[in-house]
Amino acid sequence: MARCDMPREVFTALSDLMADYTYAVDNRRSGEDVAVLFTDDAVIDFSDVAFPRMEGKDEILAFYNGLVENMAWEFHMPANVRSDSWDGEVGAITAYVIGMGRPKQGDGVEVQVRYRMECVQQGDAWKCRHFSLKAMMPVG
Amino acid sequence: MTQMPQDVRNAIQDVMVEYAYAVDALSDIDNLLNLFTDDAQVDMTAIGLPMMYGRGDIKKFFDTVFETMSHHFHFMSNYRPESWDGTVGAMTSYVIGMGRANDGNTVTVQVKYRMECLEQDGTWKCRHYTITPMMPLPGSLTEIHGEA
Repeated sequence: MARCDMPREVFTALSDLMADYTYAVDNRRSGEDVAVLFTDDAVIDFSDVAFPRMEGKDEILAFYNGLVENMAWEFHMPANVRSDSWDGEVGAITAYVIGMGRPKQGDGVEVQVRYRMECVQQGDAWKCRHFSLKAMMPVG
Repeated sequence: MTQMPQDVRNAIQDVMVEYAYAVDALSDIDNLLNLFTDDAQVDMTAIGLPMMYGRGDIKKFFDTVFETMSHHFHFMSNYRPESWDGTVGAMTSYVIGMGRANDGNTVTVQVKYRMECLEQDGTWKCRHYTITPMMPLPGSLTEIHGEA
């Protein structure tokens, strides 16, 4: 984990949230399975990989419902998980991710990216309030 | 071996992850060098790259790598404790390493890292690092990084 004084249990909770995100995206069951992992005012910024920037739960839900409708296969595997910041309430982690997908029509795609998830605890659950991607290898 | 304590295991795994981030940033050589002891040995001969003795050799090698490469991606998994004597611990991990050079040449390798680490002034550092190939190596590896 390293880099900051994030408590181990917070690091584990954030790592679990990232894993939950990949499972929710890859099972392609419902956009709501993904959206529930985010705060209502969350921002998702995929602009570094030529995907949208989304603000708020409605835009997030619409994007992931679109993936459910259009994708036949998805596979997102994180590694190199590392704590990035911790101020006592808000924690951020980064991870390397190999992402693969094949739409119902058209060619598949594979990317090598870095995730950054900034998260807060709401009730008993940790939720992501800012999620961004950075391309690590050329995309496309 | 004596069982490696969990905090030591976490610390050495952190060194390995920090190494990936430092190598893949392709900038700030000091951030990378600070992960190694002054007298660290880095043995990349099994993949056709140099044997390095000390931070001077390591800096020389990675200065060239940082100048040559436009993209890096080292994806680690299968962390495993290998030895622990109460002071020095070694762990291994599997790594998929990808790179793209400024001239457009690309390389992908599947290798195993071994890092032997110890604590110096409250910070864990690597004193011996080896890379072992786990799948046949592509010719582009030595085209990009040169011969040992």
